[in-house]
Amino acid sequence: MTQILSEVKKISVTGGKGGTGKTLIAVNLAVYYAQLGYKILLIDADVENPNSNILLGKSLTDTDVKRAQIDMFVPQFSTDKCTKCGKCRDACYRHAILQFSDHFPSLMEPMCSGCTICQRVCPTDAISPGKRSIGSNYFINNISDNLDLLVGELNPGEAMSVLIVENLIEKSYELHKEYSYDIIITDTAPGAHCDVEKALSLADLTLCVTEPTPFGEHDLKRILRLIQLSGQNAEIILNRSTLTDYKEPILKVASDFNIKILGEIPIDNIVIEDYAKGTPFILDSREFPAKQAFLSILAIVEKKMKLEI
Amino acid sequence: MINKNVKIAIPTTTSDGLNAQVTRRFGRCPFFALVSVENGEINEVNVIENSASKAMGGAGPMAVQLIVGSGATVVVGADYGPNAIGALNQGGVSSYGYPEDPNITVKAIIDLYLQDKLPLITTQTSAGHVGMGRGQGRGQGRGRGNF
Repeated sequence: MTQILSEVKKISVTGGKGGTGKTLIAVNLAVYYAQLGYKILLIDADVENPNSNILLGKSLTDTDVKRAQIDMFVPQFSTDKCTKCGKCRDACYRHAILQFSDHFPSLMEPMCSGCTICQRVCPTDAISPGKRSIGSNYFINNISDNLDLLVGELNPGEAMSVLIVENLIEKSYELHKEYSYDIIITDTAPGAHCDVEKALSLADLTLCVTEPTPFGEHDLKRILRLIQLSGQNAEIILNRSTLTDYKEPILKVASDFNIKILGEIPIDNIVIEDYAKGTPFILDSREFPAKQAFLSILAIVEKKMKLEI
Repeated sequence: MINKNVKIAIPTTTSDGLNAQVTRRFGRCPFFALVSVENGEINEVNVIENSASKAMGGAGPMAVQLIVGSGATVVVGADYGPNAIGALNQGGVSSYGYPEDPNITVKAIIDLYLQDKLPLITTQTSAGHVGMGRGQGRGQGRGRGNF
């Protein structure tokens, strides 16, 4: 499957800590390259709180947004075929299947991870795939020129965020067949959970957005440990670099993990103004320090990704 | 109405039956005291080790499997998680609470049960526990029964 996207440049934006500017960077990257004429797919894989559409001036309830429900596997027990042998119950590593002697098995649905082991161990083929809706994906074609947006959303209270991200990746294959993207940019959730790992799995380049605070430092270490494990090609962007003088510890983390700091973006009131208005700052025609800093970061990204500008 | 001919399971930390120390923990208690009652009199006491106590996740439902397998149809405990309560309901086991008293014994609990003084519990009484592995408990405690 990954071969389908082998010709596409894939950038993921992550960082560990929440609120460091991942979505801001991802959206501005996407808008900038779309303006240059590249066909871009932006994937919002922060499935517990997707909101990149807001920065692009779109509501997910708008009529031109295509929504598809995402289901997960849950076992369905056929009382015709089941011999009450208990193998599914014993195989379930989450102990989500109850089966009392002389009774048919039943599922404690919130505990099921959808792993399908029960179906695979059933000797009489008595388990068929049932469905439980756990979230949705939303697709907006041409949210702005040359830019499509794919958003994943996990229903509140659901646990299996990684399944939503898997769905987004599969959906991106499908969309690529139809729209032939040049660049796919993925905005991940904060943290270093398996849904983030999944969202990073495709990337040629992973950008870790952090900030000069002890929290930024701590969470950056966690995400870099994940990246180290999965062998991604990563770089750091230090956002709000003028917020504090807590820069040394970030530089130290970078050198400990042997990862470069691609650039720094200073605090800039114009960025905050644009953010509050829901406009990507890269579209602001004024000249301001954060934009300059961002453009010089983009120049390095272009070189790394061998983009022809 | 209570049943005067019944097998009752009580979570305990030790294996000495009627004198065992009770524990608030349900799914991960080390032992269950199994007390058989006939015509309102204790006639047999057994102890089973709770194999679910070391489960990665889902200890509550596993413990319920064990209890149902033992033939008990009543359990008297303190902290029932959401998964345990769901499984007890499905297994047809009636769940009761007991007064908060650190010195309470298995014997005292059985006496209270036989006097119909224990509250029947139908919803979880403790938040779900994250097990040693990847438990997914997400409950919200609702306090204990009224005494």
